[in-house]
Amino acid sequence: MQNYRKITGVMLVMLTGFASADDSVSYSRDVRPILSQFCFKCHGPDELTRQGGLRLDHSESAFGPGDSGAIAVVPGSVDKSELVRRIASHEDDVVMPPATSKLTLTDTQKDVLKQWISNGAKYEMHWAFESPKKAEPPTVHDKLWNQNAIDRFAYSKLTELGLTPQHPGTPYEQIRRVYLDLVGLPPNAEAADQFAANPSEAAYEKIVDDLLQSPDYGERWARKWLDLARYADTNGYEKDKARTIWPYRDWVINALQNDMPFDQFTIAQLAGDMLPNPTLDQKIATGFHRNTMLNEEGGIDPLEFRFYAMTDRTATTGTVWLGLTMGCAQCHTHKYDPISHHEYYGMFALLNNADEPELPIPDKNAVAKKADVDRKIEELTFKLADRFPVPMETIWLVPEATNPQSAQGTTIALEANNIVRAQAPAKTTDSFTITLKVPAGSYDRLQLEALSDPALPSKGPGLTEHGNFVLTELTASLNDSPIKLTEASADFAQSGFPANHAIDGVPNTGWAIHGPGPWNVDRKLTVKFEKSLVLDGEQRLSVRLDHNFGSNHVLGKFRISLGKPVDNDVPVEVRRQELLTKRFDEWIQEQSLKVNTWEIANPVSATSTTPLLTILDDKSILATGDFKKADTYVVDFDSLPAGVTGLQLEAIPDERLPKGGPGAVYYEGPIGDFFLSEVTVSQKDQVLKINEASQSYASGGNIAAKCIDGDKQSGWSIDGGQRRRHVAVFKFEKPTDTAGPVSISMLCERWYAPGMGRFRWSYTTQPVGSANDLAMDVAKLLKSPVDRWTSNDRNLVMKAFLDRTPELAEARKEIDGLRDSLIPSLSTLAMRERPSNNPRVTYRYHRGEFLQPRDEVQPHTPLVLSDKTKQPTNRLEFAKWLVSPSNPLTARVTVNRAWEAFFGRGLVRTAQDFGYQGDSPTHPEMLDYLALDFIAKGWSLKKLHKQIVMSQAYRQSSEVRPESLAKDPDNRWLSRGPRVRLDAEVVRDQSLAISGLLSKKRGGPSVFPQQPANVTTEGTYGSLAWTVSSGEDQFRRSLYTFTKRTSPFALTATFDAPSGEACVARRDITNTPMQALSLLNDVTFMQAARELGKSTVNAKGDDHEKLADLFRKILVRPATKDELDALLDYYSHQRTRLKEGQLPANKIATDSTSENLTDADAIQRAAWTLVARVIMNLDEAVTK
Amino acid sequence: MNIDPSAVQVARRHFLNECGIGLGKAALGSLLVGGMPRSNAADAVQSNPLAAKQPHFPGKAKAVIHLFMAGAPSHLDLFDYKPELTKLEGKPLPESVIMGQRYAFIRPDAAVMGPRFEFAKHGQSGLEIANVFEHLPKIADDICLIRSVKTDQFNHAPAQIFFNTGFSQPGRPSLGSWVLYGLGAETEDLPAFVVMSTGAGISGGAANWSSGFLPTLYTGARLRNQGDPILNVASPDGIDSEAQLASLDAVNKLNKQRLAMIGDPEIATRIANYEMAFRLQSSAPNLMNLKEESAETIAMYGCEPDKPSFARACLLARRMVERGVRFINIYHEGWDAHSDVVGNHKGNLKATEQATVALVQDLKRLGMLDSTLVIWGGEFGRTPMIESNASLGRANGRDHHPQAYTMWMAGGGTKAGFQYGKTDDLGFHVVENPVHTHDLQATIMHCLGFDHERLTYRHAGRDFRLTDVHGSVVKDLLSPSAILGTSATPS
Repeated sequence: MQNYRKITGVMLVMLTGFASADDSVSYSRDVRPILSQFCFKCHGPDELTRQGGLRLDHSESAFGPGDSGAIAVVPGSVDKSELVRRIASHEDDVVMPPATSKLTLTDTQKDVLKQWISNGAKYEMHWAFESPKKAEPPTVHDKLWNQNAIDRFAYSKLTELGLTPQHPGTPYEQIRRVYLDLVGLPPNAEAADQFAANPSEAAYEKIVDDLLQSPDYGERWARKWLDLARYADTNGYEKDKARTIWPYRDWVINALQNDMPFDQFTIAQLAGDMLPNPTLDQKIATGFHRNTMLNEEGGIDPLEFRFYAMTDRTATTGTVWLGLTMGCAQCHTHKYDPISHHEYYGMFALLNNADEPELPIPDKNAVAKKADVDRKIEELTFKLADRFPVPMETIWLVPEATNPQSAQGTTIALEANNIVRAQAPAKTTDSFTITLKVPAGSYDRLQLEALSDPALPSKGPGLTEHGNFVLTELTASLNDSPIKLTEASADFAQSGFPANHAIDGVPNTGWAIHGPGPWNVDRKLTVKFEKSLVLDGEQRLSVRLDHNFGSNHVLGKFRISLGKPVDNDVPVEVRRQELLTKRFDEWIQEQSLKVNTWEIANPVSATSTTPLLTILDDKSILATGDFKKADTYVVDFDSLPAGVTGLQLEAIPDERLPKGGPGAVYYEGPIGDFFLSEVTVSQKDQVLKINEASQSYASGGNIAAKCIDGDKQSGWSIDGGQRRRHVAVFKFEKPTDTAGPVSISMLCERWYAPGMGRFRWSYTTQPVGSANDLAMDVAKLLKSPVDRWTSNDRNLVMKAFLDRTPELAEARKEIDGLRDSLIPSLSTLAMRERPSNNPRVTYRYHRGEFLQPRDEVQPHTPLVLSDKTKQPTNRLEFAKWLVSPSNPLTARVTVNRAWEAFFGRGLVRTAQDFGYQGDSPTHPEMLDYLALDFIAKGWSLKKLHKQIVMSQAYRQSSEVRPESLAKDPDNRWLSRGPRVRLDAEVVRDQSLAISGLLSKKRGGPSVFPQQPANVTTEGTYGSLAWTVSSGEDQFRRSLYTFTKRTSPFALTATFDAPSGEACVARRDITNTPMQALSLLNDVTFMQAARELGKSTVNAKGDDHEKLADLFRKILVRPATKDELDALLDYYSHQRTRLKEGQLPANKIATDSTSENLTDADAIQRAAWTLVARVIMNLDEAVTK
Repeated sequence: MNIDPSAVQVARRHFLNECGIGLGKAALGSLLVGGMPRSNAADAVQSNPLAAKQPHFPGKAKAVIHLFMAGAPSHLDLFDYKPELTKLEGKPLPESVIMGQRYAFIRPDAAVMGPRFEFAKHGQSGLEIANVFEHLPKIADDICLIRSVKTDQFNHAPAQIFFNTGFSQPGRPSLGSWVLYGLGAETEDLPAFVVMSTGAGISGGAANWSSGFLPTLYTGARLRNQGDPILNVASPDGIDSEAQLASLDAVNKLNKQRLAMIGDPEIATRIANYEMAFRLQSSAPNLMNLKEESAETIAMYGCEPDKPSFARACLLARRMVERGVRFINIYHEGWDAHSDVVGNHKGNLKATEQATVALVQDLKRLGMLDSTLVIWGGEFGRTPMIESNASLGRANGRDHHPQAYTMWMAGGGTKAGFQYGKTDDLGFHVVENPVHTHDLQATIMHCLGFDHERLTYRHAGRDFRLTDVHGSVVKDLLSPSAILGTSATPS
């Protein structure tokens, strides 16, 4: 392969006209590339690896004595230059580069160096670090090529090299190329014919102008920018969960569509959040650097992977705007370019001072909506009182159950609320007896609740493996005399096992509940008495449940109640009011025993191991910034009185927290949750012992008591209760003896970062009840005598009651729904500059390793590009600097990328590297001209694109003449038009467009076109069920396809689309057998071929005309006679096979089972489908 | 629909005779003189980027089968016997041993857990391994066991990616891609770098077989367990071999007309790729057809021919090596025993051990072991400390441990019946002959005939290599004949 390089090198020398090393040797063009590749590693900018005290990238050092005393370069004197002696030497310990480097200079390279020294060893500034120079485009004698500045530069270069340009492409070639380039879709035959009929300059310009205005343009160019932004719809790494950041993608589309000036486009993406009064759009734009990956693998250090994200941001910024390989300076000073290790972290620091929240995207009329919804909730809450359920037929009473018995000796026991539970395993058959203590009253029916429970097999209610049971007989007796039962009904009965079988006296029939739909749920059986039981005093009623069906069909959990008829003479409203009042009073009674009057403790300081704790006006504390896997918060409080019996911790939701809090978990764990592992309270260095804890809500077994068990692996968490306030109460072993300040230490530790987000502490001196989530003012009222309540107080408490009482759960659903409707359903990842009191410090990391931070680094840009005295100090200033006239690179790099998009390679062929190791521009004057012109025309990308596509250079025929192939094999001198394989997305979009399948729906969530489901499931840890989108969403433009980083969409990946794991400045363009397989066999292309087959059958004309039209649909230009002949031949051959039944016409013609085709129709469609498939597979079809 | 293998012969003749554009390696090369320099890979690797190439010096290994035990098996329970741990069971390790190491789930003061299996010695080499192995003793004298492997990463995805690409973040080329880039392919009928997987999903995902910044044609091809073994390798429903061939014929005929008209050599490459695609369509089903194998062979591997399994993957790997496939990854993910290391490892051994051993024996029997490097191991080791956490329902497991673990290799120029490296009495740190991931990579490249420092690729202004700026060949692991070449001159 070195041979190849050599040849290319020689060829270059020949072509650029300096055949031998004479006085035309230039430092920038000829010498530095050699020094950079062979010498700078040890004699370059990096002082840590510098050998012999010599650097060759600087004249000062090169011309002075090195450590050995010898002078490397003596200008004008080859003989005295140590460098020459060393490169010429054959001795192992003298020769340079040394054998260990495994590099060898060619003779040509040695000659170049010698010639340079002999000419005076003139050093020059690297072209890319100097401001672009204004150059007048040369006048050329060819009239056609003297109209556009690009052509004047290009033509004079061609002439200089003894090359001639190609003739202009045919109108068909030109229109297809400019369509595919500007909008990523082909023209239709009508547009092409129109242009072919009048291929004037004006007609071409009209086409270009229309395309630039077409909404397809924004989508086409957004995809290119998304490569740089490493956009994807998942987080990457192991779990690779889905993320929502498509609002950023849509922002890019709109910005490019509207031709947002590139300087504004830059500033919005890097620092939109820091602009004065930023708009929502400007904040969304900051998603650019949120496209970095997020590792959610178990037990990772989140700050380590944040560090990796920052190195990505630094490198990406370098690539996108500066065209520099900044990433090389992460571990040490750049080996080739003048970027020090310190400067790398200076740029890192400029980007480092931001938090990374999810930005809620509210509905457009969110504020109005909120006021409206709040009012409705208020109204509906009070109306709840009118919906308090009143029994219309029966009032149910649950009598005290006693002494449950099993005839077969199954363990059977009473639980709270008179529920009876039988333990698995069940006996084959069994009979349970329960005795009820029934108070005085009149009763006319009995109810059996069969209860489901997670602890039962299949959740019950029965004890069989599947949770069913058969109640073969229910009998009841009062004082040993049987009660006659008349009528049984159930809310559900299994077919063949109706309710009345439970009272029919037949021992092997019964009531069972297996059925369609979920049936492991609570069920009720109601049985009427023949006549009412009238009891004067408490009596014992015995109920027997027989299960004689066998095979363990025995009930696992149940409860029995008795019913009496409602007194229908009293109006419902009156009864409701009575019942409500009764329940309300009972509730007040219950709650007043439980609640405490809490006094808010006054925090005086709040510090933590990592996040910033801010004391808010309401004395709650908000944690922001970074979080670790273990963080301790310490909050010191003002003096508390003596006799404090316990503390209350409120976990408070807040929109600033992930998912609204109250926790700060933002990755891997339950988002918005926290995990409070330990709570320690101390007073004057004395730990106050806590012996009891309770909570209003906990997820699973993570209860508040786990915060005081000394085990750091256990704790309190609230997953499932995000966006709600939760309370934990901690009771002291004994009341405090003395008044005094108190300090509370809270450890949040988990294998992910589980910090509390917002919380508040309060205390009480009363006996401590258990935690509940009543607001503190309501709790206070409940502790005060009811008769002193004002009507307002009573309303407040009533509201709390209506909000919680279980009878109204169903009625409250409407209110819950309204509350949920206020939660912004959409958010996107964005940046938010940190508050000034919590700046993030940046260090220089030794060897680029996260665990080796060294000296602190202040924000600054590389000095080779900037003025030491005018340094940006933050992200916004940095973004502005990038697009300021003093930065020599941004405009050149941007123009070069645009050039590459049209010609396949940039004027600087290493689009991602403008440094010493990169290629020099093929047309330096043109590059500078275009860069300055770009700025002068207001950074307009559309104007730049127009300038390029209007050029003759672009519109040439792409036919490769032998002369052009020999002297300009890769078309760097523009001796022919660009002929490049289409981008992956364009390959797919084109097939959808020509077949009529393409949906032009714009923006919104990403979609899932057809592909085998196992592409995203098989062998991937973060597996994703690829559920194909319905309707037109299957056929959207490819930039809307859901991009999963660890298993990208197979079709586009095959055609070199990136995975979004890293910034891609230039896609490889490969040509592989896998692409052939994909075009031949992939479902998408087959689908398109079928559509084309169908429309061809329906098209006008004979086979010949049909074929000509089909060909033009795909390739735009008319087919040649040879082509038509070959295809017709293929067509008739396949049609014969189809007719003869050798090929299954129906299968080929359609993939739909519902489509009924006649044989003739199927044969025609199949034959044309096959023809369409062939044309779509032609090289020309996937090449512009 | 699969391609009938006999159709390929027809196709070959057809392309060669009637179309007059048979594009085998030679013809392709000549057509492409001066063409295709579109990416710098093409610049670097002559005309056909997959043409077989000579390495820096003659390597012993022509192919690699990497059995990646993803999730990380416990060296302490399987390979590296530490009775001292039994003595210390229940007590924490001293801080001087831990030295600030971070862990994923446990706290550094977690108690020690002794080896969960008995150990015994096997073969003439006296290979000391746990008694839980039923089959491995049979190849005790064939393998080269390294007890001193260490890595930089302690989380699965980064560590797997690190092992495969020499870097912990996605984006660099994988071992297999480097090998293809350096050696090219010896088959035009199958992908030269194939990836199979069984068990759970792989943490590191596609980054493990990505070509990184190398051209995408060096990416590992997934051989899938469901659907087409290679994506789109079957023709659409209803299109038989003859129709597919006729279609290709038409495509290539028209492409040839276009080539004559336009003169772009890229069209010639496209023509060649269509021919290769067609051959792939027939060789893939042929590869998968295990009916060709004897009942005895099937039984030796312990696989069911039609059921995807680790065992079947091993047998397919052998068939691929026979067909010239260069690099094969078989992932078995599931060794991540945070709880119940005994149950976990027994289960994984049941799924993998017999076939692993059968693969080595089979290669040996067929005389292919010398030229095939088999690599077995995970991305890191496991802690001497127990992982137990009631709130997570975990007990008797071990956490991730990057400082020391065990791997083995066989064939391809490695020493047979050899044990290497030593850890301390706790199995915590390496105390003798450390082999860092980069050293292992350098050694693997050496087996294939490469100086790992010289197989480089220019990307983003720098010459990158698999081993970054580290790694040295561990000559101790190589058989004498394979050491040759370390001082070879540049080719």
